[in-house]
Amino acid sequence: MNNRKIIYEPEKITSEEIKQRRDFDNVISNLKKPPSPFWKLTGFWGTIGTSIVALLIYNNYFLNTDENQNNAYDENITQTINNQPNQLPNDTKCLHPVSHENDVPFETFEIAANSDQIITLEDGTEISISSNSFLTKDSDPIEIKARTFSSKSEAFLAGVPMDYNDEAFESAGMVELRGFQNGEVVKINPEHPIEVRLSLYKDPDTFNFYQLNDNSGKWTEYPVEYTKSNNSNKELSEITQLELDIDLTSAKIERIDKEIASIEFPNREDYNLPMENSKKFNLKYDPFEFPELEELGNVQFEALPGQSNYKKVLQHVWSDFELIDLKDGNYEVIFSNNRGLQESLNVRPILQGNEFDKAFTKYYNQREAKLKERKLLEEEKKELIEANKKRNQRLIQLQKEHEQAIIEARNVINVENRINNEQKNSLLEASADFKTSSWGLFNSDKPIAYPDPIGTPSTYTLAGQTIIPNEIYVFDLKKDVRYSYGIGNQFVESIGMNNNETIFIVMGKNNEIGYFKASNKKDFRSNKVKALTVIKHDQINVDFFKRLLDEERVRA
Amino acid sequence: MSRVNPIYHHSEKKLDQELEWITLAKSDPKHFAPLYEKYHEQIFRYVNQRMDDTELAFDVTSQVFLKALKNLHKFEYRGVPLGSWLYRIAKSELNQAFRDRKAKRAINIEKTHVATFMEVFHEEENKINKKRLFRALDLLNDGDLQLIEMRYFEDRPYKEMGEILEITENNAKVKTFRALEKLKIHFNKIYGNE
Repeated sequence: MNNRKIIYEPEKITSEEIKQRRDFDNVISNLKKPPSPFWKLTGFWGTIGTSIVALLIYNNYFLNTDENQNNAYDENITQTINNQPNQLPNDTKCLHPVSHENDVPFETFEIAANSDQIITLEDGTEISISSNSFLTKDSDPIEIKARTFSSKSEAFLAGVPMDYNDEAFESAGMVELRGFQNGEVVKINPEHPIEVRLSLYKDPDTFNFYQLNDNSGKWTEYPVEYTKSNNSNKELSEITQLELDIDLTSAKIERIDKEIASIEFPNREDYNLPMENSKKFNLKYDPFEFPELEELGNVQFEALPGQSNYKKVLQHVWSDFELIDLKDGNYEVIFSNNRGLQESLNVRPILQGNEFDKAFTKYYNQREAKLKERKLLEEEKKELIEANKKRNQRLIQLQKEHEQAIIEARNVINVENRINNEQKNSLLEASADFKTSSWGLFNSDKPIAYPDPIGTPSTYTLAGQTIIPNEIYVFDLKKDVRYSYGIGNQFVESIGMNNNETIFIVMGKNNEIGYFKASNKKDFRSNKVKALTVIKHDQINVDFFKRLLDEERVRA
Repeated sequence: MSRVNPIYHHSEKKLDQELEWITLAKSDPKHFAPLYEKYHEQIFRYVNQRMDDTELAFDVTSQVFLKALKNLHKFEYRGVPLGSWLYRIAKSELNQAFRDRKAKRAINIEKTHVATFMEVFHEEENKINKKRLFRALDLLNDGDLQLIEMRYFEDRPYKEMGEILEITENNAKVKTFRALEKLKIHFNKIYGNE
């Protein structure tokens, strides 16, 4: 279902009412308004605009200090990127990767500045760029850097803030987009924004869409159109389409059958041609009495088949006959003689000589034309039957695959004895389609409330030493969400958890990092001192966190 | 069925007049006024037919003309009325409005349309069949729905449909026939008590 709104008997609007709403002057006045400069567009201020303003302030104060070189897209940094193209672009201020060395990598594409391009990322995300998408007069190539985040681990590793209005985000898919020309950030033309089809790994029905303000680190809602199809639905839709095609083709075949049946081949009778092996004879008749026979010219008569008295007629000499028009193209001839003998034959006039030749040619041509028509229809029918045969084969195959997919999906779920969203959604194919005239992070998200605080603060030890936690990240293994404490509005002293298996990643004030697990709230409360397992520097990578957080997600 | 677009068929003289206005408007948008007056109602009706909000339909209509004026320099006269170009802009603006979730795609259907389909399907006009028709219409894809709307709701000639959709008249005819067949199949597969 397309879920369109059906309006039955809509309110009628008269021409007069429409006429009253004409306002050409208004159209003209809008036309004459100078186009809003992109720095005045809301979207711009939400993203690039604010980042540039902030960047100016930032440059004034910090540009020349070494320790801040990694924090913004300033000239020095973009120059670095240009000189070292294999390096990642530096993160925006609000992104705090756990490890700069093992940050989530970008995919890099070098494209022409003025041509239509579609970039496809590894996860299927598509970025469509038109020839005039960039505000640049330079024809040097554009470097596009993009990365998607399909798990809590990746978003955590990249240091993406995941809070929104005191709630934590559950993401269905996230993408970061950056563009440079000659090492400098290239601006996107607001008149020809970049179009993105972000691959999602969850059903986006209950998700909103957001863009991250690079400077404030806050997410703001962003317009998007979600499209989704389930692989299972895709098969079903192909099945439905096939069924529809088969039905349509069958209906067409039926029509062709009817057409073939309705082809009227010419009758020899219609052309006054004799039937094969027919019984023919000449009769003299009065042309004034039978002018229609006179019109036929050189005419003979042929006895209609199935008349047993034909031989009798031949055996006698007749002195008189009477010709009666039967009004169906045939005539009755009544033969009589002086002895009172009388026989009657039904006959039809037939042509001979030149008239026969002419009529036969006409009959022949007409018959050939009809034969050709029938042949064409039969060929078309044959093709349609063949096409339907193939469709039927495909249909059977799809139905089997569909059944098999369901069985396999059930098996997987049974074997692992759990129904998690990833598995349920492994068949999902969904995307978030949006346009942007600014670079940044875009996220399909759902805010989730923080859990209630678990109780009194704990003491954290790492390798036997007490550490002061700076940030604590709480990952509920049954929920696809990250609760962050120590940043934003949540305090490390009041961390919370749900009554599920949970991983706590603790970061100390001196950049120490460790984790501990709790199976449930009781487990958490059972020991006030939390002995953390050290996460070594070389362990900080996506695979480690995916294993730790039990994220074996299959991307659709 | 009422004809939405009685002025579509243009004589050579009228087309010449249009071309003159367009040429003048390219240098001064004020000269677009007669074209605005000429097409405002039909573009509005086209937009409103597909939307659930009349006020928004007026806004989208204004947007269509604004966009037309902005892009008039790109318009190339191809011997067909300006209307077909305006319809294409309207289609694009409508899609934008749906994408931006400003409006919901609607199918405005009158009693007479229902009667027409029942006649075509050789079905009785009753509540159940009406419901079946609505569901069948909703099952059509956008392209097929567009054809059905243009032909059966708006009574457009195939020639005009072809020009708006940038296909041949014959192709418009064939596609509409197929869309109708699909609609009929959907209709037959749906039961009123579902």
